[in-house]
Amino acid sequence: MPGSFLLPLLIALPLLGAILVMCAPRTESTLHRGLGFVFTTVTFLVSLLMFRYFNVKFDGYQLVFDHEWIPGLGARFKTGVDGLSVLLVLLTTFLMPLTLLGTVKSVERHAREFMAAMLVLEAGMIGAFVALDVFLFYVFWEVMLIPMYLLIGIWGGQRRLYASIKFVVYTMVGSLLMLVAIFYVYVQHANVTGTYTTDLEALMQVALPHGAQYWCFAAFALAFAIKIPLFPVHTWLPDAHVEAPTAGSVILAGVLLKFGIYGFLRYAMPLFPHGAAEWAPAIAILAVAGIIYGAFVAFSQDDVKKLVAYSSVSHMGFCALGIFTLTAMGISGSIYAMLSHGLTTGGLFLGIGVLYERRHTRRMAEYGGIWKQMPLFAGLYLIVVMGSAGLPALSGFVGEYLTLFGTFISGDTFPEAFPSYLPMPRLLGALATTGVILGAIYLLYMFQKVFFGKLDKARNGHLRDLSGRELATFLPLVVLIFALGMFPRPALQVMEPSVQKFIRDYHRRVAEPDGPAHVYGRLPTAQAKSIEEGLDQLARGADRVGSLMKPSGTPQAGFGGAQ
Amino acid sequence: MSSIPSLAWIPLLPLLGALLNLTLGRRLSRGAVHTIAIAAVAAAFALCIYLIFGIPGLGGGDVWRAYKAGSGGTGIAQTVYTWIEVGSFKVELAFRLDTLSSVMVLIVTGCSTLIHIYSTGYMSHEPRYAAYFGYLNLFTGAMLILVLGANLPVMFIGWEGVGVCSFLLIGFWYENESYANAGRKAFVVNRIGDFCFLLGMFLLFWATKTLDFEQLEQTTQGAAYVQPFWGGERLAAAAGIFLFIGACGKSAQLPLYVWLPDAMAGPTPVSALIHAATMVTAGVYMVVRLSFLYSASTTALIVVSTIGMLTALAAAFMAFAQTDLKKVLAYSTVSQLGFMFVAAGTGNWVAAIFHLGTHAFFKACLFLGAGSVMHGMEHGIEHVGAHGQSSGDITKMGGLRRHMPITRITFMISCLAIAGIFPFSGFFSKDEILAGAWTVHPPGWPVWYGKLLWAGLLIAALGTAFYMWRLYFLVFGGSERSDAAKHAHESPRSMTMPLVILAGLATIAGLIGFPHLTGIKLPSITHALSSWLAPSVTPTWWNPGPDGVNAGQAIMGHASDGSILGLAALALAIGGAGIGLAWMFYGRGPSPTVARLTEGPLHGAYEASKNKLWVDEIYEAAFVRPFRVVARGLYEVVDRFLIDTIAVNGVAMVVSVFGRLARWFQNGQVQRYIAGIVVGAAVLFLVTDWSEKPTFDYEVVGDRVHLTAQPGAGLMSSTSKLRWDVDGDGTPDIDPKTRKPYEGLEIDVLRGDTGAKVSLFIDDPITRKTRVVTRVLRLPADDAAKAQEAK
Repeated sequence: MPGSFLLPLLIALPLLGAILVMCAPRTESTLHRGLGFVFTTVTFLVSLLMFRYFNVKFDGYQLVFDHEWIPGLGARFKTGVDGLSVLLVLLTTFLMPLTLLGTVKSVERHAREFMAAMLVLEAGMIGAFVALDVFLFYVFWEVMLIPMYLLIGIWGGQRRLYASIKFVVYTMVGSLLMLVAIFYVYVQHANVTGTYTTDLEALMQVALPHGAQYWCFAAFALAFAIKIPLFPVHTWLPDAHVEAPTAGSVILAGVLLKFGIYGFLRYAMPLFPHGAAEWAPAIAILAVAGIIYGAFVAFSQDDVKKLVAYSSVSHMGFCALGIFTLTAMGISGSIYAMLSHGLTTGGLFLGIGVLYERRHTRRMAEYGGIWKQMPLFAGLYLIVVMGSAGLPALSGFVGEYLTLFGTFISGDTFPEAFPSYLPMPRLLGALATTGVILGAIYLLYMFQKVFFGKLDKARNGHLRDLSGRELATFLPLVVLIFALGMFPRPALQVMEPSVQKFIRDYHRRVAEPDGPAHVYGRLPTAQAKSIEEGLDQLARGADRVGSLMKPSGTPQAGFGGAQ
Repeated sequence: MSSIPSLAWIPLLPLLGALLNLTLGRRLSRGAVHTIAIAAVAAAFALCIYLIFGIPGLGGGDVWRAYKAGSGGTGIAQTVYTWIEVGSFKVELAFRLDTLSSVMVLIVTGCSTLIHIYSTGYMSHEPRYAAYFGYLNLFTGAMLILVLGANLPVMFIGWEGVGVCSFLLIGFWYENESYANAGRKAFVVNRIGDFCFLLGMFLLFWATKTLDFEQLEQTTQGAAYVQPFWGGERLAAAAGIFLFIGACGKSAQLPLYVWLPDAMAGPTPVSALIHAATMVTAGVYMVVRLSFLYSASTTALIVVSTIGMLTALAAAFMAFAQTDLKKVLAYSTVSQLGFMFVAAGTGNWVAAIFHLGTHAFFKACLFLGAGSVMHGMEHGIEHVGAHGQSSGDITKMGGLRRHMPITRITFMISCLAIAGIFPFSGFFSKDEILAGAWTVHPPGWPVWYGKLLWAGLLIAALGTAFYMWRLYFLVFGGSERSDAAKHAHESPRSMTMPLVILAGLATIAGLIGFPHLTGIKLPSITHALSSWLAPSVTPTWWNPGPDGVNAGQAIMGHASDGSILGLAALALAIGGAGIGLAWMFYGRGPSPTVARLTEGPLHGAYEASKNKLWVDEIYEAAFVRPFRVVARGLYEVVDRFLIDTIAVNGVAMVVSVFGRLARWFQNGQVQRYIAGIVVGAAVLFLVTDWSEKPTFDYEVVGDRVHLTAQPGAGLMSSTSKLRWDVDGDGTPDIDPKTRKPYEGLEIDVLRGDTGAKVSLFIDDPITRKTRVVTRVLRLPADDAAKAQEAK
């Protein structure tokens, strides 16, 4: 396939960068930073090349690279992108160099290891987005965990140990259950087809019994729900965000959370459609609860970072709701909301980093009147805030609007076998729409506390406005927030075919009748079974007849007797 | 840039001006800043004129031609590009300039140009000059998008955009905490409305699969409006009411009006442009724009008109006792918007837009006049060094007619207009609304409903005339009540020129909306507005359902010439009475009667008005504080305690307790391991022994009784000896056949050998104790025999 080299290259580049950084002398921190920035930038530029080969009209996997990896297990190194993942890969590669540029000064201890961790993290994230082999995905999924653990645990704030362990244990609880479910699917597939493989496309050929789907989906869903994070398994997020260094927060909110939603779209829903239909009401209700709950709790924070962390719980609720509507609007909106959330929340955290570097506090009460001192920063930050609050013509609006719309009209598209797929979709949509009010409440509250009011704290009187470097990190974000809000169509067009295919496939799969594990469309029905049994009896009878009628010593066997 | 359609340039010009001033403004001179800003808005105004009427020698006038050709409802429609497209859902960034939106764009760009010019004088000492003009341009651009949008989502871009500009401009002097709060309050309250606006939009799309105004108006889509939705009501009622709540937020109606009085924290020209002339009328425009939807539901219209009337009354009442110049004007705006909603809610679309237009002129003039007065007062305050005195406090004014003649004359004209005095514009527009309310008769509603609306409005009109003229007399009448007032001076020409133009418009704008009389033939110019708007609004009830009794029936009723003139005379008299009352009490400064009344019989009412009916306090107690408490509570109780402490750290603690225990056991000493084994084994036996009590079962098999012992589990069961007493004599027995004792887990006994009771003896070899279990056998044959004996 053309361009198949590209995705492995995208994974390899940051890894190569990490190795080079680790080879550089310990004291040359400028060199580390330079290498890190250069490698992430090159990765971004290379990732742009994807669109040279990517066909927006095609709905399947593209740029597929497929190579044997662990033959004994049947695991393959198979990567590829489609409309669901290609923009998320781009988001990752775009945010990385910006993050490094924005936080260059914030890390002084172990700058070399920090860069290496960031680069390994990038490789892990890209790998997890492009993996098309369940086992490969699982490996990358866990690979992401380690550098993030180190980022929080080494370069974090005061309670970094508690936060990093909480982050790892929370994530592991979910992902281990997911591993069990992966093995179950793997073995079932082998039972049915006779081949051992973890290739996603192959595994998707096998329909599991209803009950098994229920539990396997639950296992996957737990892993992904923790990652999103869905209420009530979200409490690792505020701690992780508060303790993580700015760069860690940006990547955590900007990219890592997206794996939860992406995992549902790529793995959990296609592999276990019946399970998804059974669990959809629960997840949708939790998503709506999260939208409201996250917003309420965000409002009661004094720590800016915690406020933004809880706002992520609220925003990601929209994404989770969107994918379970099974409408093109809901799913496209969900992916779009993820892109926007990556930019806006990334920007919010970068801005907090800007303030933190100057004042070393995240308490809103310590600020006030900053607009006067940093008008440029305030203006740009206001755009980011408004983008996050979902103002039309900025990026946040399109995604949220589409997911809400999708939820509202989703009643028409439920699977036939599950007529009450989502309970009261319009009520759910209406409840989720309150996020529009609540988002304005906590975001403007934060903005006012920090930027409005009198500049009455002496230590705020000497704050410099944005430096050229910081401006260079904010400007691309702000421009993209505008561009995604004003011109969402190109991005939506990239998703469209894959989203439509996702919905078609889901409906086809969920319509498969329940039965023992079997290849889709080849359910051993009762009639087929009885015909098979009848044939067996006939054959046995013929054998007996044949042996009775054996006139001579010629060996006779099989049906009909004659040879 | 020729690919950008002409309509798009109308909002684009101010937006480009905003972009320039907000990015480069700090490096530009003041002159360059306001030149850019004014040029952008004035160019947009000129472009509107060109597109609507044409400019001699340059062509244009497409809307005029369309109107003449009978397609004024379509006007010019242009698509810039496809904004959002997913599956079958498509939103074009499209604009439409029909007869309705052309009235609006003229008002918006016209007022905006004048207020931009005025601002150059009023804001001349402002350090953040470029930011101010940037926001003002941004607002104008957003407002024009709102007005020109050809579908609901594009309208929503403008709708939210003006909200943000309003937030920024109310909180323009952000260093003042309460101003910043006012800005935030405005945005949040507007967002509550927007939430309902979105719901209305979702409902409409769900039912009709389109959001384009023109498509929504078509009968095929419109059939969806009459489908029953909730409690037997039509879908149009639900969608209409949701959208109307959105309008309540933007246009400051009950119960969402609370942000507007606080919005006076912004610079005065902003109050004139945003919080009087344009933005707050967006809700009225939206309802009229969707006249086809509202005409499909009586319920929705009744909600609109009732809320409008209540708002008009409540706001007029609250305006009585305000002492801040701008606060009085703010409540008056809320009240006048209520008038417009009554017009919209009685299907009197033309009157709603008419009053919107005349109100834009006289209220903008009043606000700018107020700005001029405050500007002059500030000068006086500075001159006499009375720092701390508010420049808007009307109790400290008086006699300003001598110092500010132009401001005074224009203010007076506007006060006459708002009081509804002939021949000023407010007389005609208010009269249209009153007459419409008098004659309206919504199907299925009692005929007095319209009269009730009319009566409510009449009281509100009396109030309006009174409090506006109270304001006028307190500011300009009598003699100066402070030193500062004595040193006030007239404002510069940049400020008075817009005043004069607006006052002129407030005087003559009534010309285009004379009442329709059957007896007297008036020149067509006097009905220009109603015939101009006619193609864009729906005059009849939409009722294509099977019960189409009202199909095609006009929403507005008809009145005879006599009643029209009578009503007009009554309205005029009411306006005059209001002015007369104001003269009585305040003509030469506040008369002693006022103090006597407010401290005597009218004290309660006075306090209620002064404290704005305590609505802010009620909201604070009912919504704001509970919101804070719930937010805090959720965080502390659910997040920190239930989830983190109990569930997450609780699980961690259980694991760690087990870890500690295991560590204590596994210390490598054999003794401890052996002790563990012994204790463990003992526990195991004890637990199993306790678990069951010894007993036995019996079963009749033919002529024998089969006894099965269940001596309990554990240690005792396996080693104990079991003996049986089958005849009930209390000692273990011997089998008469085999001459062996009955022993073991299972035995068979002849039925004849069994007594009434059977006992099982369990000998424990370790403790050397014997337990006896005794049961009474109830054999089925016995029962049968006994039953036979009884017979």
